[in-house]
Amino acid sequence: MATGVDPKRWINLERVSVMLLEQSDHGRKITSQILRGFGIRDIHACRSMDEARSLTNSVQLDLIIADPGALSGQGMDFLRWLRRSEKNVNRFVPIILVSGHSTNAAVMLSRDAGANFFVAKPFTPKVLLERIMFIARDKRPYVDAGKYVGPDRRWKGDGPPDGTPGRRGGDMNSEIDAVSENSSNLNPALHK
Amino acid sequence: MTVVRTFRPENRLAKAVDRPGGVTVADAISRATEQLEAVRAECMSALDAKIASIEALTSSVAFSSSGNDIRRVYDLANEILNEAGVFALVELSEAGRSLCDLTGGARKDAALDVRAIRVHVAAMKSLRRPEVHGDAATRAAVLEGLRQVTAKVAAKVAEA
Repeated sequence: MATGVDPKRWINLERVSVMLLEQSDHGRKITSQILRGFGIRDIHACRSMDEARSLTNSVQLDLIIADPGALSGQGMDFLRWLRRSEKNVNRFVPIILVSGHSTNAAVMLSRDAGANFFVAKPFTPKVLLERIMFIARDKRPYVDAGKYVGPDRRWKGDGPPDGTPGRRGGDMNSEIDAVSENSSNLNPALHK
Repeated sequence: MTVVRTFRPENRLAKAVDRPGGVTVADAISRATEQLEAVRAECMSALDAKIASIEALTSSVAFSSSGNDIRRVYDLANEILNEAGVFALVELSEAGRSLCDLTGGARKDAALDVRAIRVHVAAMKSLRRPEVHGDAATRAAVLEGLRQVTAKVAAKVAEA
């Protein structure tokens, strides 16, 4: 897969605040280690819904990484709760859902719950960093439609964010898509 | 009628990434890989403990191949899938996935034959042995054996 991120590009994640929601102790440790390697210092690791809710009510976050499967599906409930919590300062924070054993239905559920991106586990540091950078570049608007709150799910013709090559042969950049009649109908954010 | 509101909230992540300083993407990935290596030994022990937990759970006479017990096996298998894969233990990760496939389906269908889980435990334990870990052909054979077991179970479920 093409990297999507120039290896020589400088990035600064030192001031980024991340919440990890994952039940497995070692799963949290592994992801935390990767994030520390990226230079992220402010990592809040939560193992339960209650911890996660409490944290989002008290700390300004820049990114949430959550494994919904490990919490018997509760991670998805957390996501829906957060997107609908009108007074929560983290209501629109970017959310990456990460999951090992998952089905296509689970991927679609994560999209409909308001996730920005779904990443299949196991992932390498390179893949996780690519997804973080993808979200940093993502210019999709958010939508509040009552039943759905989150990033716009309609990606038809938009292609991957500017500067990224996409992950499939059919992915095009936005400049091309704007004038093409053959634009991709695929949402790269949901490709595993 | 539902009013749909479209807006662009502040992306603090995007602003943070472009601050002066930091590291190159290549260095960030390299450092993250080093950070992972620092916990490899601990994670390997944890993987062995998870395999042992599944074995203990399924060895108990009280084990129920439906409900909470099978959910626990599924969760442990999922953790093995995830955590072995990060450290490039591809076959062990795939064995975890196979056990997830097996037990994930069992939650919806009839009670599962516990012997199929035990075969997975035996395979995982063998994949952790140094002589198997260092032999790609043997690892592939172990995984193929698991695929056959899972296919047989799936065929039985389909017949039922």
